Amino acid sequence: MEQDDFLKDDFLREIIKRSPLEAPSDDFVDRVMAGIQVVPETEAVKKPFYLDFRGAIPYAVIALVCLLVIATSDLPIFNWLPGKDYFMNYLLPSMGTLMATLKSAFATKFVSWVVLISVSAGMLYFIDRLFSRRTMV
Amino acid sequence: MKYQEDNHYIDRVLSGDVAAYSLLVAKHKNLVFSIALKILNNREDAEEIAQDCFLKVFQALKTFERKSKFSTWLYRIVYNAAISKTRKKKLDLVPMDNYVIHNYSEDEVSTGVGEMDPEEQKVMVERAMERLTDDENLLITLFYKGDNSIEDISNITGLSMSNVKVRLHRIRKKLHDELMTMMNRSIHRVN
Repeated sequence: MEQDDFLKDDFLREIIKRSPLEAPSDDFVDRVMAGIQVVPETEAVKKPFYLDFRGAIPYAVIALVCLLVIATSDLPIFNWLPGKDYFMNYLLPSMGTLMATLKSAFATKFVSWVVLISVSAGMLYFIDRLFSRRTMV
Repeated sequence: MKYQEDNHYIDRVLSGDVAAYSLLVAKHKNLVFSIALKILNNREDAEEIAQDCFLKVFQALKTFERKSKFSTWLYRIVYNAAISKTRKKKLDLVPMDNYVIHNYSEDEVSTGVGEMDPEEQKVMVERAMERLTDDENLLITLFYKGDNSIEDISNITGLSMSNVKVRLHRIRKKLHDELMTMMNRSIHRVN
């Protein structure tokens, strides 16, 4: 293949190699070595085990929510889940009461804006805290 | 000075002989500096980047997995650091049609240049290389002076292997043409 000709172009390689590479200043190596003496070797900080455990919390919460959504769906394949009847017949209606109470809080225009903004900000803060993993430096 | 294999120095550094790193620096400093200089076009910046990279490499030496050559790893770090410094995204891709390929034969060039004395050859090649763009110069430096393979250059620059091949082929043609044009000019001057 013509394009591969340069691979065996010894002549060009030979004459190009004769022109020297650019060189840094004479004390370059000394400066690098001086820098190495100054910069302490960094060691990876070992994370305490509970930080690793905390890292899994957001995923556990997401998994729990997904499980709840799926488990409380109308799909008949989830009927076998224990406690589903109790959840559907008692817990869900009481949640309806809770929602109705919340709805009344939104009745006034002024209150609804305040509540909306507060709840949104609170949720954002909560999600941010949940997902931003703290690492030890 | 004749240097040993990179792994020899790396093993020594990892076993606590920090001074052995100076030999590794001395071995690679010119090519590392040349790569940075071709991209940055400023000696001070190139030295700063080269120095920083050698420091970073020293600190990360423990994590070097030896899956690739040490030099490839080092050159890629320098290349990326220099590119970041210039905010340049990647090597500029110039289409093939942007210059005319005269297709002088290899024999014409090698015979003509071969007849010159080494000093003249050196000057002529340096002038021909000055006509190349910085990116072209970088590829030529990595390939011919640094003895890097196509795969190494691909790993260093992030260009695909076929792209490196095409570009090196094009640069080689360009160099041949430049050399031939210079020779013709000097012949006319003598006549």
